[in-house]
Amino acid sequence: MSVFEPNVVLSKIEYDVVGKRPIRHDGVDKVTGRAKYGADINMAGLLHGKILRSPHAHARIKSINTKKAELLPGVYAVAISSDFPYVSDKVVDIGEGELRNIGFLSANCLARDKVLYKGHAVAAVAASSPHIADAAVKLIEVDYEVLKPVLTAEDAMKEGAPILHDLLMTTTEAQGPGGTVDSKEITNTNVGKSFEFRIGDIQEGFSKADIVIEESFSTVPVHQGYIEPHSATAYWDPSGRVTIWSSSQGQFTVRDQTAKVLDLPVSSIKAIPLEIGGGFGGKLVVYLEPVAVILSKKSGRPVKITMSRSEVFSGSGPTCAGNVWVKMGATTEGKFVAAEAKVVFGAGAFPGSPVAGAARCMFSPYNIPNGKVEAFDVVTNMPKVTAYRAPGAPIGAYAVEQVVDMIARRIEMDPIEIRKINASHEGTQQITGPSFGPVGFLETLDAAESHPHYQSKLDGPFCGRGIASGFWGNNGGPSSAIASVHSDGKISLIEGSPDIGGTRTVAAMHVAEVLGIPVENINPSVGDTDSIGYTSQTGGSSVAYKTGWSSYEAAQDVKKKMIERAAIMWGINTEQVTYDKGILYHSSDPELKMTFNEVAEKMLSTGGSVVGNASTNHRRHAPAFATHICDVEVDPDTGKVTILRYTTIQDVGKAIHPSYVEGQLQGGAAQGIGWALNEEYFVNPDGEMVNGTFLDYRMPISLDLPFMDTVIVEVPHDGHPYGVRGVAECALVPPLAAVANAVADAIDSRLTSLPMNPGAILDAISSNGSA
Amino acid sequence: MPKVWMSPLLETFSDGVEFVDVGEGTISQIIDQLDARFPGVKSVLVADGDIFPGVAVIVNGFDAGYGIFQKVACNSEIYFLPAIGGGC
Repeated sequence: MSVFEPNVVLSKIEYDVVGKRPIRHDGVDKVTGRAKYGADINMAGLLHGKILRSPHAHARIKSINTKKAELLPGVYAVAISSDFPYVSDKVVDIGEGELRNIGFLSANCLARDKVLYKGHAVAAVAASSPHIADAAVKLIEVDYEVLKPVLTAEDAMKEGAPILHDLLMTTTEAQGPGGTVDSKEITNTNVGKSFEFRIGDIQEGFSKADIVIEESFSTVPVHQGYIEPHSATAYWDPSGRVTIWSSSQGQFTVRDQTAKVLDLPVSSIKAIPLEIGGGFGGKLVVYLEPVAVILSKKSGRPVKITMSRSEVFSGSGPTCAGNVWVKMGATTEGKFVAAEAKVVFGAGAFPGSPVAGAARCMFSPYNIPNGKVEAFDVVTNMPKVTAYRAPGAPIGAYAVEQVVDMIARRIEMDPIEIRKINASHEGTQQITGPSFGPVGFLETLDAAESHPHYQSKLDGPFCGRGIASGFWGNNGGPSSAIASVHSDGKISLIEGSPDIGGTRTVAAMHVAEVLGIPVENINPSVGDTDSIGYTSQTGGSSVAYKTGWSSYEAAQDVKKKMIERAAIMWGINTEQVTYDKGILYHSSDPELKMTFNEVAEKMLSTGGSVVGNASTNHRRHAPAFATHICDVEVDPDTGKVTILRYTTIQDVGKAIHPSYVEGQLQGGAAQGIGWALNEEYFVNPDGEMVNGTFLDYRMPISLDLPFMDTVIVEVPHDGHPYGVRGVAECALVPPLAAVANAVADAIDSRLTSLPMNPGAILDAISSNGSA
Repeated sequence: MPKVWMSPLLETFSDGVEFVDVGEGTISQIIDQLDARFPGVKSVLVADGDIFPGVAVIVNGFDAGYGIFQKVACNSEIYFLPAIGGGC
């Protein structure tokens, strides 16, 4: 049995609490099953909701007849899109730049005039039991005019492709002599958005290249694969107040999106966050909440809707399919001189793929003086995609990191060496324009190069090693925390970030570090939208940074007030009180001191409760870089790829709780390995996903994975009290390419599309004759 | 003097000018300056009195936390880029 040794490098400062590994506050509830998730909500009079979903990928709804369903005993309400208010097609930022057209968001919750993917919600029923609700949805009659679907972005961009939205238009200019515009033609399009980035002179750059390599890559939709299906319960009370219980990545996101879809004031909705069984970006958007609210309004009873696993696959966002063409030029010394890419992402039924994430991140690890990226967001008759851990970046890195590998092979240079030669560092201008501040990419490459994994020999036929790096910008945003001191010296900490990766403990550790008290004395919880100030969603790897910081500030507020209370008790000025590690000292008499608990005990007689508050909006977040090492063995007879060894190395700034960080790094690698090797939406020509269960949708399980080593590199972020950068998302950026580069090394043939399942591997082996 | 990088998002208005010097002020005031010089810029950057959804304002490498109200100091570099969404 191997003994786990924490592997932390470059940590410069020792703290009392930060950097330690306390037991998580929510651990007991979770391992004993007491923790309440979305579907655990029950209350008197609760009705059960079910959704009728489209059997067609693309069809016009001619009519919906709900009468039979309404008459079924036990049915209390039926809802269709006309029960929603009309909301304009205004585009809003639902957080971190993820755009939602509110009209589209509404139409994704319940289809308006068209269904746009198989599984698109059409109608909903609330009944006294799930079985009656099931029977009732089958009684709803929908008359469809079936239309031809378009399932890939490539097809959707072709002339004459079926058009999904009348709203999407493009202007084509016919040019006359001298570049004058002869005429303009406005036509429908499936392209939701296009943009480009440029830096330097791309032609001149390639003219300086000794080697130019270009290749096209493609990926298919994969699902975030969170364990807990979507579930929402809503109650519209007689006074018109709405309460929503759901598991999501943001109770304020749920409140705000539901308010927009239903045209309600945000103050009329209270969203209560429950424990969340995974999100990875997939729970940043509402599907069920507005429907449950309308069913509750119509029935006068609370209504709960919980998706089945198949509904999760067919009715909630996977990540997108991507087509990426990359061309890179380098000198024989391994210096990149130019890079170019075209990125086309399928957004699913409504515009809004993570194509900007790919375009902004794909070349960021490297200092490239001349570059250009074109990006296209294209609608298709697939479920509307939503964010998935570093949205878009893994697909971009999958392409770029393979081309980097191909260049290294061509010039016979070590794959880490070529990355070190070109690595972005402080001052490097990104292809998007801005320059980097202090970053730790080179440090991850140094750590990878010296790691025993990379130093080890990999022998054997059909064995290969792959290296890949990745970048993610991370995020910040508004966050709130309230620290209430109890008379026994313990603290209740309410913060606003739903806890997916252990962040309530991380917030508590910030408080404990500031106040010099044990983290076990802090009881952290996530507040509802009426109990805590606005906090942006748990996304963008932002929570340890932003909510850690708001908790830090709330603790500073507590410390200031505790000093005031000690000063009152001693009859001195606050300047004469010093605070160190939970002890308050009288500066003129070293014998006079009080513990935090002693001051807390007297707080009601020295001015009342001590409550620390903070609402912050820190945006000076810092990016993360990662480098992964992957060893594989390929079975030439079956095409099965076995991961022999995997090491992740990432600059996290400062690991507040290293165990959580290691878990995030391992989790990202595991998801990436699944994405690389097995996961995919098998979609038939009619647009139906035919593998919509976990039996058929092959995610990696523990038996598929080796122990994954983690190296925590700490190049502190100078814009955070303890140096935190985001962690979670960057961990998923390199693995697709790391596995692909390892497979290419093993079979001497490069696969350029995912997944690299056994069939694809066997095809590649047979085509190059290496079997 | 702050500089605004006229990214491909804006260059259709700026006739190929890559960097534009602007006076100090808030992002809102700087957008007004740009729009006065390159009419139309404001239409792709501002909607309903706020930064257009999906546009990220980057000042010296970091998101402008105060949006249109963000004050920009001398020698700052300002970028208007497509925003990227988060996952977790």
